[in-house]
Amino acid sequence: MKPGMRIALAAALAAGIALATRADGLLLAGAILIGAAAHVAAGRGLVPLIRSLVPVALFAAAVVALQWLSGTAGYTLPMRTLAVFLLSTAAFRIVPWESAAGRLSPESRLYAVGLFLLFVRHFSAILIDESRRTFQARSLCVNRKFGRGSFTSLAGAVAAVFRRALARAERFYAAQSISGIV
Amino acid sequence: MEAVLELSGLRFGYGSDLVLEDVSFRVGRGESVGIVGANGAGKSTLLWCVAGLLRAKGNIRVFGEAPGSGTRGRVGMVFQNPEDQLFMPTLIQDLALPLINAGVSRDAAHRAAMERLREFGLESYAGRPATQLSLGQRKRAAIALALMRRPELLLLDEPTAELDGRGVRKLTETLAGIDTAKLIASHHLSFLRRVTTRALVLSAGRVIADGATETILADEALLERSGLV
Repeated sequence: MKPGMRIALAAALAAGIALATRADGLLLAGAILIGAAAHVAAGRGLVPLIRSLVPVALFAAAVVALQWLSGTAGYTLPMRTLAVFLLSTAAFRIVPWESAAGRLSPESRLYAVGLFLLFVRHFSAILIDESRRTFQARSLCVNRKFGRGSFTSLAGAVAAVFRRALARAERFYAAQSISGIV
Repeated sequence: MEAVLELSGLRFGYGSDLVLEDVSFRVGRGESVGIVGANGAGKSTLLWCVAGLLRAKGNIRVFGEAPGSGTRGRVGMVFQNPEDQLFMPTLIQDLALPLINAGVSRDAAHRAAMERLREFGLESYAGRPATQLSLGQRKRAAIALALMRRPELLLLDEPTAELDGRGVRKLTETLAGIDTAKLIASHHLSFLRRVTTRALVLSAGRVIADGATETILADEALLERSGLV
């Protein structure tokens, strides 16, 4: 896909995000479908896409639960969450933002934003890797999903990921600080 | 020999747990010094204090100054995990970034980065992200990155950790070609024998021996006492 085409598509998705923050009902359902279709068109498989939606869906479910507790249950907010997530992540997949961010000059107003996005991308990859290793290690010790020790070990694994993430963040910050970047 | 680093009575602890206690030594210009010690002896903490990343009690002078923002450009550090240092979309961008950030033009920074990659035999990986390199290559790239601002003191934290034999050999050759003063924390004794001329033995946060690397590493009783063999 040509760069101009990519940028035009990303702009259309950004417009979709703006629309999704105000729309409801069928328009929101349409935005969700367009977001999912954009991911698939950008080369993402349906199964990985659905997997990546699990935490967002859990968050949306928590929002519904909180709304229900406060007596204002509705479907708009969780749908909006899904739509904005799908459209914005699709826009990030389509735009070659990594190379653009890497080319920004320190004089540019977007320099800090570009560096921040690269930090986030790098740190997310580290976090995903740490989580994968921790949960693999847990699965070697606990071979039943439910039962004795499974929830304790799950809590332990989550805490370990959190601790490791903090330690890695500290070292990453120190390394950038030594290089004079931050 | 002019000192690039001087420490006297250095103390550092987390709460009431002292990690470093009364650490004193000096490193001369161009000198290559190994810090040996068992796991938890305080080697990494010592490097972090020298780099100004941790605030310790006592006296630390890096080029005659207290470590901090004034000494940052003159001190380079290679972390145990190169992923902590390399994060840009391509390797050449990783190496050019500290220069660009310091105000050097993009073209000049990229030229300098390419030259450094060539020096380290990594020029064919310039356009790739660091994640596509082997661990040994990433370690060498991290050293190349630390050298970009031409530091006068290079700190290396466990540079051989997780490296295979060939990786260690390549790293040894790379470090032998760098005439910057080096402080290398490691418990890889044969590696230190090849890349340092002097060694300090750290045990439970204290320097218990300081001398020629050959002499220190030949002292079986000392190595046994400090948990190295």
